[in-house]
Amino acid sequence: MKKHDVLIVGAGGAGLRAAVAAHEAGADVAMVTKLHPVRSHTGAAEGGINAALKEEDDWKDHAYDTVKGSDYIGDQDAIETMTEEAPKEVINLENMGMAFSRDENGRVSQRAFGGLSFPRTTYASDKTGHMLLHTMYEQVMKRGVTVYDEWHVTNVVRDNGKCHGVVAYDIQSGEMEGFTAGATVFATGGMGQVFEHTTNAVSCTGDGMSMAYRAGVPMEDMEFVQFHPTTLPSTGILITEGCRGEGGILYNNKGERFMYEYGYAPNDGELASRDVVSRAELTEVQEGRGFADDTVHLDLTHFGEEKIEERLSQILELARDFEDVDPVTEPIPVKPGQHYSMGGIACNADGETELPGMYAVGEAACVSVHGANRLGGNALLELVVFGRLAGEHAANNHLTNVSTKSVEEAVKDERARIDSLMDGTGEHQSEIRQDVQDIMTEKVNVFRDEEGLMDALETIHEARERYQNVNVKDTSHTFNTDLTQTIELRSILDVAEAVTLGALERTESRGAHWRYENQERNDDDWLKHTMVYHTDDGPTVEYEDVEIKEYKPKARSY
Amino acid sequence: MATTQETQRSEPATAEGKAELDVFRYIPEEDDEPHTETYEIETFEGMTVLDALIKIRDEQDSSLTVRHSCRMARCGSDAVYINGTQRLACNTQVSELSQPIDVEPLPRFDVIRDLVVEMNEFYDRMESVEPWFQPDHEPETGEEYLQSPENRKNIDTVLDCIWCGACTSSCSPAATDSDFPGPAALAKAYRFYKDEREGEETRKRRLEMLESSHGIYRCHTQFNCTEVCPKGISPTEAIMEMSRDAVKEKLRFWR
Repeated sequence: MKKHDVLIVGAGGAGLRAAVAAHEAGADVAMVTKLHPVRSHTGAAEGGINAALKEEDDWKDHAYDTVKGSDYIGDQDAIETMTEEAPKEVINLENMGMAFSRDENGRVSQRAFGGLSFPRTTYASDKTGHMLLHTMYEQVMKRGVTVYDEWHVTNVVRDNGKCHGVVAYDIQSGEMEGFTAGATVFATGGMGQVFEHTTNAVSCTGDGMSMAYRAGVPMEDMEFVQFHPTTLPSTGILITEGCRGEGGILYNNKGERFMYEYGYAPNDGELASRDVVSRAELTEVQEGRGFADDTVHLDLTHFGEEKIEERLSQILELARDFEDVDPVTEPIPVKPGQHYSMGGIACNADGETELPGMYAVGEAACVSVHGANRLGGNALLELVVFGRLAGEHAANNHLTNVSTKSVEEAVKDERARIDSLMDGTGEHQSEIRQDVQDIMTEKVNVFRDEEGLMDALETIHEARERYQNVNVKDTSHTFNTDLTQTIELRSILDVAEAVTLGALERTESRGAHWRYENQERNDDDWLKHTMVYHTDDGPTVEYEDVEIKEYKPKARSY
Repeated sequence: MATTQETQRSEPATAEGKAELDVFRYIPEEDDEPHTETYEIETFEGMTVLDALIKIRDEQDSSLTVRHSCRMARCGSDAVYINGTQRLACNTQVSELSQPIDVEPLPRFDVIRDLVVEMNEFYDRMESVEPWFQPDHEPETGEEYLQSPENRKNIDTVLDCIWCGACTSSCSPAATDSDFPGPAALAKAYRFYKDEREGEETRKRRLEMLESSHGIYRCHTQFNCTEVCPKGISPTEAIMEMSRDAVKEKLRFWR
């Protein structure tokens, strides 16, 4: 049995920032992660982190851009917190040594990004996430925070209406152990593996969302899934929005700059928000103006090699190694791919969930600041702003009456559940997983309709039946990835169901959620958050009001 | 990107066709000794060695074990030994390799299972160089530390390190001296050593620390680490520069 004041589950940017904050507030803090911190998917973030640092800029403009980007369903109090705190947090990253790119005066560099009224995306070449992740891990090493790496958390211990900690599976040894904590912070990241075509790592399986959901905390706004407009067609690998921020151009097969030519975004063109650009690209493809593999072209050839090397070096590597295309001399074929979950574990700006003792932060959480569409450069920002707030709150308010006995009981139950997974005689997890990923990418993608969503739900329900007798073929207790992937598959099923159900119920189009039958936003009926609760008979849906302050909903165009 | 220089054992795989992989298999707790398992798979255009291993795991043998996560050469989980060279499985094209493709765990690391190796010693080496920012003064602006674009550029290549361990696996001094930080850790040390924001006092202290008996002078300048780095980093050059600086400091002291 391990025992700590504050336990952080997940060690990407949000978890690491929370750990540093909790440690600085004097708590006994530990981290538990199914990877090692530097393997976390924060490292794959490329473009940058938004903050109104310059004198000519104003955090209130950043707030407005974010509200507009969210299609008015982001909570404005939380958005104000994030954007007002942004300059302090970005400077704090710099003061911790983060290697931002520099302008000629030696200050941190900023560039244009989609949906922003000012070039306020602070960047480190096109490896901003990598630099942020490593900087934060350096700070955790410096402070000697305990990290349990390659421990797969499988369950939240809920007893007497509060959270007592978690149960985790030691991937190396196959042992299960309880972690008792007065505050448990879920910083478990996204859920891209619910989809077939995604920029996300194989580890992004929505575990935290699923565990919180099963512990009685709702998943909020899950139908809002971001499809990034520029991913490589064969792998889903991300090509940063920084390419367009630096002046990259999107062309259809007629050589037209379609964002302008066809009126998708007459003012901002390629730098409209991501939902707008992704829909435009797929419309071009559907109307016969795309290239092979349902792509359009992203052209950087006018930059010259030096500029690409300096500001977008990773893109060169990725396009050459994974698509066999050289961006210096030829356009990159791109298409929309799942990228980010705006929805997540419902929580407030301090990360508190409905369950006392349980917190959520980062992509796993829904505060909500991104609403129906996240702006590029706001995800890394969310990690550090709310990571700090959650870490501080958890350190100062952790429960003191948590029960080791409750955790011990939960360990026994989880051991029995995991052992029973080893006894199944049915299909292998990879078959079930593939069917779910395929139907999600086919029917719950950029364009959605009722019939497709019903089909997807049916496939998910069948997959759940098949999962009852899933067969883990590998019997070893040592690093059994067959077993851990089977554990993850349940998370994928829970999240896929919540996404699809939320999308089916929401009969309007807003941000990244677009419905064929209802192509307009409908504020009269749908200016509200979707809350999906777990019950033994399946999910139930409830709704909550959106926090509107200064910015009243109005028509959104770019 | 990294290239392999190897003797052709047979024709490389065509873009679409079949490939044969000889994969190292071993569970120390359960097996008397390691063995090699041979798998034949259908390939597709653009298939990487990681794709091939996942395909084998999903379709033929779910007990085959490899660490992997981002599949875009960023997380550094899947450094393995492919046809005699340390490489990332996820950015190595099957079509470039001679067959059968030999896949083994990183040499000089203990095996946990199959292609998964014990990384803790590597992490300890990284931590031994105090790899965190240690400025010896407050920022001049009251906000951020100023850093010239030139200075930032000097550390750009080493900043890309993904802690995959390929270099340290290729390094003979690291194999015989567990107190030698090895190429990845010394490249990390260089990242801070060269960062002008830390200031002169910290720079000197770092250099003193690095030239201890198990430090930079242990490097044999064989460039093995540089050859295998999947991110194009040259730890050897970083180490040589720090060594030259350390010698210069000494000369100045004696004069």
